[in-house]
Amino acid sequence: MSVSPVSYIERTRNYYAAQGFETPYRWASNQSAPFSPLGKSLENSIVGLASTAATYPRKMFDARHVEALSNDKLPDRLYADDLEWDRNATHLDDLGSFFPFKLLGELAQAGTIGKSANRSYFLPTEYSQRKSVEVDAQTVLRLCAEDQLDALLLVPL
Amino acid sequence: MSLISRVLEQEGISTVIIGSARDIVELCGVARFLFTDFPLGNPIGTPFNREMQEANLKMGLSMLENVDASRTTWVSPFKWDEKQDWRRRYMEIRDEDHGMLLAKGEQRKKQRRASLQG
Repeated sequence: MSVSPVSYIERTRNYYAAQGFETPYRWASNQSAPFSPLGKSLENSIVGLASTAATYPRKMFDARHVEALSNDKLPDRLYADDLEWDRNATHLDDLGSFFPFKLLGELAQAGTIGKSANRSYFLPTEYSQRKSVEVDAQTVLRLCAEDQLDALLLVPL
Repeated sequence: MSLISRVLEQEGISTVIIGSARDIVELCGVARFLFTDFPLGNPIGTPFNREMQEANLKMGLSMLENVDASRTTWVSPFKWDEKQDWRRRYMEIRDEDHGMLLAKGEQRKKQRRASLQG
Protein backbone atom coordinates (compact mmCIF):
# COMPACT_ATOMS: atom_id res chain seq x y z
CA MET A 1 0.00 0.00 0.00
CA SER A 2 1.43 3.38 -0.90
CA VAL A 3 1.49 6.13 1.71
CA SER A 4 1.09 9.83 0.98
CA PRO A 5 4.08 12.04 1.80
CA VAL A 6 3.69 14.21 4.89
CA SER A 7 2.20 17.63 4.06
CA TYR A 8 4.84 19.77 5.71
CA ILE A 9 3.35 23.04 4.55
CA GLU A 10 -0.01 22.26 6.13
CA ARG A 11 1.55 20.83 9.30
CA THR A 12 3.80 23.83 9.76
CA ARG A 13 0.99 26.32 9.18
CA ASN A 14 -1.23 24.56 11.72
CA TYR A 15 1.59 24.25 14.24
CA TYR A 16 2.48 27.93 14.16
CA ALA A 17 -1.18 28.99 14.12
CA ALA A 18 -1.61 26.97 17.33
CA GLN A 19 1.27 29.00 18.78
CA GLY A 20 -0.62 32.22 18.08
CA PHE A 21 1.16 33.33 14.91
CA GLU A 22 -1.54 34.90 12.80
CA THR A 23 0.16 35.35 9.43
CA PRO A 24 1.08 32.03 7.82
CA TYR A 25 4.43 31.74 6.05
CA ARG A 26 4.21 31.76 2.26
CA TRP A 27 6.58 29.22 0.74
CA ALA A 28 8.18 30.04 -2.60
CA SER A 29 6.02 28.91 -5.50
CA ASN A 30 7.01 28.67 -9.17
CA GLN A 31 5.48 27.08 -12.24
CA SER A 32 8.79 26.48 -14.01
CA ALA A 33 12.40 25.96 -12.98
CA PRO A 34 15.74 26.78 -14.65
CA PHE A 35 17.68 23.74 -15.89
CA SER A 36 21.38 23.43 -16.63
CA PRO A 37 22.48 20.11 -18.21
CA LEU A 38 25.67 18.65 -16.75
CA GLY A 39 27.38 18.92 -20.14
CA LYS A 40 30.01 16.29 -19.34
CA SER A 41 30.07 12.84 -17.83
CA LEU A 42 29.71 12.41 -14.09
CA GLU A 43 33.10 10.68 -13.98
CA ASN A 44 34.70 13.86 -15.28
CA SER A 45 32.76 16.25 -13.06
CA ILE A 46 33.70 18.08 -9.88
CA VAL A 47 30.84 17.75 -7.42
CA GLY A 48 30.30 19.74 -4.22
CA LEU A 49 28.04 19.19 -1.22
CA ALA A 50 25.84 21.66 0.68
CA SER A 51 23.86 21.26 3.91
CA THR A 52 21.45 23.44 5.87
CA ALA A 53 23.23 22.40 9.07
CA ALA A 54 25.87 24.59 10.73
CA THR A 55 29.46 23.88 11.73
CA TYR A 56 28.85 25.42 15.16
CA PRO A 57 25.93 25.32 17.64
CA ARG A 58 23.92 28.14 16.12
CA LYS A 59 21.05 29.44 18.27
CA MET A 60 17.48 30.16 17.19
CA PHE A 61 17.79 33.85 16.39
CA ASP A 62 21.51 34.08 15.61
CA ALA A 63 22.37 35.77 12.31
CA ARG A 64 22.66 33.17 9.59
CA HIS A 65 25.38 33.25 6.94
CA VAL A 66 26.59 30.99 4.17
CA GLU A 67 29.80 29.28 5.21
CA ALA A 68 32.40 27.28 3.27
CA LEU A 69 34.82 24.98 5.03
CA SER A 70 37.61 22.72 3.81
CA ASN A 71 36.63 19.10 4.16
CA ASP A 72 39.83 18.38 6.12
CA LYS A 73 38.76 20.95 8.72
CA LEU A 74 35.18 19.78 9.25
CA PRO A 75 34.10 19.19 12.85
CA ASP A 76 33.08 15.71 13.98
CA ARG A 77 29.44 16.76 14.11
CA LEU A 78 27.17 19.40 12.60
CA TYR A 79 24.43 21.37 14.31
CA ALA A 80 20.83 22.27 13.58
CA ASP A 81 19.34 23.29 16.91
CA ASP A 82 17.76 26.32 15.22
CA LEU A 83 16.10 24.40 12.37
CA GLU A 84 12.85 22.44 12.19
CA TRP A 85 13.47 18.70 11.86
CA ASP A 86 12.08 15.60 13.48
CA ARG A 87 13.93 15.39 16.79
CA ASN A 88 11.51 12.75 18.07
CA ALA A 89 12.09 10.34 15.22
CA THR A 90 15.81 10.68 14.70
CA HIS A 91 19.12 12.42 15.54
CA LEU A 92 22.17 13.93 13.86
CA ASP A 93 24.78 11.58 15.35
CA ASP A 94 25.71 10.07 11.98
CA LEU A 95 26.94 12.61 9.42
CA GLY A 96 26.39 10.06 6.67
CA SER A 97 22.64 10.26 7.21
CA PHE A 98 22.48 13.93 6.18
CA PHE A 99 25.93 15.11 5.10
CA PRO A 100 27.59 12.35 3.07
CA PHE A 101 30.95 14.01 2.38
CA LYS A 102 32.92 10.85 3.21
CA LEU A 103 30.83 8.76 0.83
CA LEU A 104 31.17 11.42 -1.85
CA GLY A 105 34.95 11.26 -1.44
CA GLU A 106 34.85 7.50 -1.75
CA LEU A 107 32.79 7.75 -4.93
CA ALA A 108 35.47 10.07 -6.31
CA GLN A 109 38.14 7.52 -5.40
CA ALA A 110 36.10 4.83 -7.13
CA GLY A 111 35.74 6.96 -10.26
CA THR A 112 31.95 7.38 -10.06
CA ILE A 113 32.50 11.15 -10.03
CA GLY A 114 35.60 12.96 -11.23
CA LYS A 115 36.38 14.71 -7.99
CA SER A 116 34.64 15.81 -4.82
CA ALA A 117 35.08 19.49 -4.00
CA ASN A 118 37.74 20.41 -1.45
CA ARG A 119 35.22 22.52 0.47
CA SER A 120 31.66 21.95 1.63
CA TYR A 121 29.02 24.65 1.92
CA PHE A 122 26.66 25.35 4.78
CA LEU A 123 23.56 27.21 3.68
CA PRO A 124 21.23 27.93 6.57
CA THR A 125 17.50 27.85 5.94
CA GLU A 126 16.58 31.47 5.46
CA TYR A 127 13.16 32.87 6.32
CA SER A 128 13.59 35.73 3.86
CA GLN A 129 13.26 34.53 0.27
CA ARG A 130 14.74 37.81 -0.95
CA LYS A 131 17.90 37.23 1.12
CA SER A 132 18.12 33.63 -0.15
CA VAL A 133 18.14 34.79 -3.76
CA GLU A 134 19.91 38.14 -3.59
CA VAL A 135 22.54 37.42 -0.94
CA ASP A 136 23.03 33.74 -0.12
CA ALA A 137 22.67 32.40 -3.67
CA GLN A 138 25.17 34.96 -4.96
CA THR A 139 27.68 33.86 -2.31
CA VAL A 140 27.19 30.22 -3.31
CA LEU A 141 27.65 31.10 -6.98
CA ARG A 142 30.99 32.73 -6.15
CA LEU A 143 32.06 29.69 -4.09
CA CYS A 144 31.11 27.32 -6.91
CA ALA A 145 33.19 29.36 -9.36
CA GLU A 146 36.19 29.44 -7.00
CA ASP A 147 35.98 25.68 -6.54
CA GLN A 148 35.33 25.08 -10.27
CA LEU A 149 32.28 22.96 -9.54
CA ASP A 150 30.29 21.33 -12.31
CA ALA A 151 27.51 20.28 -9.97
CA LEU A 152 26.32 20.86 -6.42
CA LEU A 153 24.44 18.33 -4.33
CA LEU A 154 22.11 20.11 -1.91
CA VAL A 155 20.87 18.20 1.12
CA PRO A 156 18.43 20.16 3.31
CA LEU A 157 17.63 18.66 6.70
CA MET B 1 17.91 25.78 -0.41
CA SER B 2 15.52 25.18 -3.33
CA LEU B 3 15.66 28.89 -4.19
CA ILE B 4 19.47 28.79 -4.18
CA SER B 5 19.46 25.76 -6.50
CA ARG B 6 17.31 27.72 -8.97
CA VAL B 7 19.85 30.55 -9.12
CA LEU B 8 22.71 28.07 -9.63
CA GLU B 9 20.87 26.35 -12.49
CA GLN B 10 20.19 29.72 -14.06
CA GLU B 11 23.91 30.44 -13.99
CA GLY B 12 25.09 27.11 -15.42
CA ILE B 13 25.71 24.94 -12.32
CA SER B 14 23.84 21.64 -12.30
CA THR B 15 22.15 20.75 -9.03
CA VAL B 16 20.40 17.88 -7.31
CA ILE B 17 18.41 18.18 -4.11
CA ILE B 18 18.09 15.10 -1.93
CA GLY B 19 15.38 15.80 0.61
CA SER B 20 12.27 14.68 2.45
CA ALA B 21 9.89 17.68 2.33
CA ARG B 22 8.39 16.87 -1.03
CA ASP B 23 5.61 19.45 -0.99
CA ILE B 24 7.95 22.34 -0.16
CA VAL B 25 10.60 21.47 -2.76
CA GLU B 26 8.08 20.77 -5.53
CA LEU B 27 6.11 23.95 -4.84
CA CYS B 28 9.31 25.98 -5.20
CA GLY B 29 10.24 24.08 -8.36
CA VAL B 30 13.77 22.76 -8.85
CA ALA B 31 15.68 21.08 -11.66
CA ARG B 32 16.31 17.65 -10.10
CA PHE B 33 14.90 16.29 -6.84
CA LEU B 34 15.43 12.90 -5.22
CA PHE B 35 12.65 12.43 -2.69
CA THR B 36 13.48 10.25 0.29
CA ASP B 37 10.34 9.67 2.34
CA PHE B 38 12.00 9.92 5.74
CA PRO B 39 11.50 12.04 8.86
CA LEU B 40 13.14 15.46 8.44
CA GLY B 41 16.77 15.28 9.53
CA ASN B 42 18.24 12.28 7.72
CA PRO B 43 17.46 12.66 4.00
CA ILE B 44 20.36 10.43 2.90
CA GLY B 45 19.26 7.41 4.92
CA THR B 46 18.75 5.94 8.35
CA PRO B 47 21.70 6.59 10.70
CA PHE B 48 24.63 4.18 10.34
CA ASN B 49 22.97 2.38 7.43
CA ARG B 50 25.79 2.83 4.97
CA GLU B 51 24.24 0.63 2.31
CA MET B 52 21.06 2.74 2.16
CA GLN B 53 22.99 6.01 2.32
CA GLU B 54 25.26 4.99 -0.54
CA ALA B 55 22.34 3.83 -2.68
CA ASN B 56 20.48 7.12 -2.18
CA LEU B 57 23.58 9.19 -2.83
CA LYS B 58 24.32 7.29 -6.06
CA MET B 59 20.69 7.65 -7.15
CA GLY B 60 20.84 11.39 -6.59
CA LEU B 61 24.12 11.74 -8.48
CA SER B 62 22.84 9.68 -11.38
CA MET B 63 20.08 12.26 -11.87
CA LEU B 64 22.81 14.61 -13.09
CA GLU B 65 23.43 12.36 -16.09
CA ASN B 66 20.02 10.86 -16.64
CA VAL B 67 17.51 13.68 -16.23
CA ASP B 68 16.93 15.92 -19.21
CA ALA B 69 13.95 18.01 -18.11
CA SER B 70 13.46 20.42 -15.28
CA ARG B 71 11.20 19.74 -12.30
CA THR B 72 12.02 16.04 -12.33
CA THR B 73 11.39 14.13 -9.11
CA TRP B 74 12.69 10.64 -8.54
CA VAL B 75 11.44 8.69 -5.53
CA SER B 76 13.85 6.59 -3.49
CA PRO B 77 12.46 3.07 -2.87
CA PHE B 78 13.68 2.94 0.74
CA LYS B 79 11.33 3.06 3.74
CA TRP B 80 12.34 4.58 7.07
CA ASP B 81 10.78 1.80 9.14
CA GLU B 82 7.77 -0.48 9.23
CA LYS B 83 5.79 1.37 11.91
CA GLN B 84 5.74 4.71 10.11
CA ASP B 85 4.29 6.45 13.16
CA TRP B 86 6.68 9.38 12.70
CA ARG B 87 4.34 10.59 9.96
CA ARG B 88 1.54 11.19 12.42
CA ARG B 89 3.69 12.48 15.27
CA TYR B 90 5.60 15.27 13.52
CA MET B 91 4.17 18.61 14.70
CA GLU B 92 1.16 16.71 16.01
CA ILE B 93 -1.29 18.90 17.92
CA ARG B 94 -3.20 16.95 20.56
CA ASP B 95 -6.05 18.49 22.58
CA GLU B 96 -3.84 18.70 25.66
CA ASP B 97 -1.09 20.56 23.75
CA HIS B 98 -2.88 23.85 23.10
CA GLY B 99 -1.80 25.64 26.29
CA MET B 100 1.79 24.50 25.92
CA LEU B 101 1.88 25.62 22.27
CA LEU B 102 0.50 29.06 23.04
CA ALA B 103 3.13 29.49 25.77
CA LYS B 104 5.80 28.33 23.32
CA GLY B 105 4.62 30.92 20.79
CA GLU B 106 4.77 33.70 23.38
CA GLN B 107 8.27 32.67 24.35
CA ARG B 108 9.33 32.63 20.72
CA LYS B 109 7.90 36.11 20.11
CA LYS B 110 9.73 37.44 23.16
CA GLN B 111 13.02 35.91 22.03
CA ARG B 112 12.56 37.34 18.57
CA ARG B 113 11.85 40.82 19.91
CA ALA B 114 14.93 40.59 22.14
CA SER B 115 17.10 39.49 19.22
CA LEU B 116 15.85 42.38 17.07
CA GLN B 117 16.54 44.87 19.85
CA GLY B 118 19.92 43.36 20.70
